Amino acid sequence: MTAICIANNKGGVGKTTTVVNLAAGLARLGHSVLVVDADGQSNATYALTGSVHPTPSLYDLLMDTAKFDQALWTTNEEHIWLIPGDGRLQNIDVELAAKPGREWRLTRALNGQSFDYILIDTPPSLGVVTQNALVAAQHVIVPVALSEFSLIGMDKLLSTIDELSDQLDIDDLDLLGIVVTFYEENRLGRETFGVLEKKFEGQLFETHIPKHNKIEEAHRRNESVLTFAPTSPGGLAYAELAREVKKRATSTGEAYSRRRVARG
Amino acid sequence: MSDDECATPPLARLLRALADEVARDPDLAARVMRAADPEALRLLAPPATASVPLSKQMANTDTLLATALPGSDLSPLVPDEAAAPALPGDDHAPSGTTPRRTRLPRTGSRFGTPTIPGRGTELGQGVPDPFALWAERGEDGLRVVLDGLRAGTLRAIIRAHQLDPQGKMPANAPEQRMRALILSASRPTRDDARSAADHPTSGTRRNHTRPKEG
Repeated sequence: MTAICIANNKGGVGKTTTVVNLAAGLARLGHSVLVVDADGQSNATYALTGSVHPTPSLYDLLMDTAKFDQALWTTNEEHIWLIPGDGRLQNIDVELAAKPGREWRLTRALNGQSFDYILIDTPPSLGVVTQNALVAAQHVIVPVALSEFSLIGMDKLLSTIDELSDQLDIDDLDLLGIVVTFYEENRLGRETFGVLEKKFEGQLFETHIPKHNKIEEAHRRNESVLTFAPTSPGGLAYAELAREVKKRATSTGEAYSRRRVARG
Repeated sequence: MSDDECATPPLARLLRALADEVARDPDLAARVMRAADPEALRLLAPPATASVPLSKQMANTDTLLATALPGSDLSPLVPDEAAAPALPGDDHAPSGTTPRRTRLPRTGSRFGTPTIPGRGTELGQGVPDPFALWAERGEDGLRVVLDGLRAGTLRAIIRAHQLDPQGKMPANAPEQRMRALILSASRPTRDDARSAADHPTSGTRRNHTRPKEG
């Protein structure tokens, strides 16, 4: 089992799209995948089930009002299960503010589960829900839309994740890689990609996800692009990304088990 | 700080959470408003202003409530000034000035219904079970449900319940064809009827299996 958090505090960079399609890619490689939708906009939930206000959801899990099995959904994709998100997650920071161990609630809920991969979709913020996701994960994937705006703030994001790891006593969280999304094969695209490659040498995934309408269309049909259009540029890219992720983050085959490290 | 003051933030949060639930579910909003006391609803109406006759304002309030409560059985307001209840802000407003306005209750989204309502939670968690839906709602009910589902979910129903064991349905099959297959495959057989009589609570033929807990 390996848990991967897909995070970027900038919105619209392809976090949800990456979660849904990477999950489908890993499932096609024969793995069982659990998607945890920690975004209050619940777009991953919609893309995988067609539902927008499911309950019980991750909110209930974090608030201790539901058990893991009660919040577990099957999805439209084979071998992919889901802990759905819903709108109440947007206000949960306030509700969890005074609760002890609030950053460890997702970890506690996942302990003992035996999926090969757990992919956690996060909201575009670094609030309590994202902190729960970072604590629960062993790896982070940062999707970056290939635009000038996305490059601004990348340093800040990575140093913030570093700081959070320190604050939350997480010793083993690592950056699995940065995946470029919305890639367009033109001069501007190549130039911007060049800047990223220079800056984050060795941290970029070799696969980059093209800007392609089939990816968006698949969401509208409530399925992954690998189901809807597996041979489209988007489908092929996500299948390749799954192989790359598998190579970098080999699943241990053991049940999820993560404990807080006691510091002396 | 008094006990009442301490209780205010949780109460405010509760009311806000209730308002959110009501705001995103028009049916719930209508039920709540129908259950509420009509007199209390009248008190929530906007106050009178000096420039608009009260009778006209009450007519506007009627329209407002009727719009907010489709299907509501509230009796229409009589445009009779004498019979109209006192409105908040009337008591202390000096004549000729605009009285303080009372905030209108939110009876649903101000920006209309959601563009994408999504499938209902009543279909259960995960891939819907057409056999259970047929048993519960009949053929027409299942047809209505299927009409509201998109290609991905229809394909998932066919796969999860093995409705196309020979794989005749092409990967890019149109939605209508998938709906027709699900409908025909979900039609109860004699064996199903017998089984349903033996096990009235079971509508599912097959279940998904997931990795066991470690």
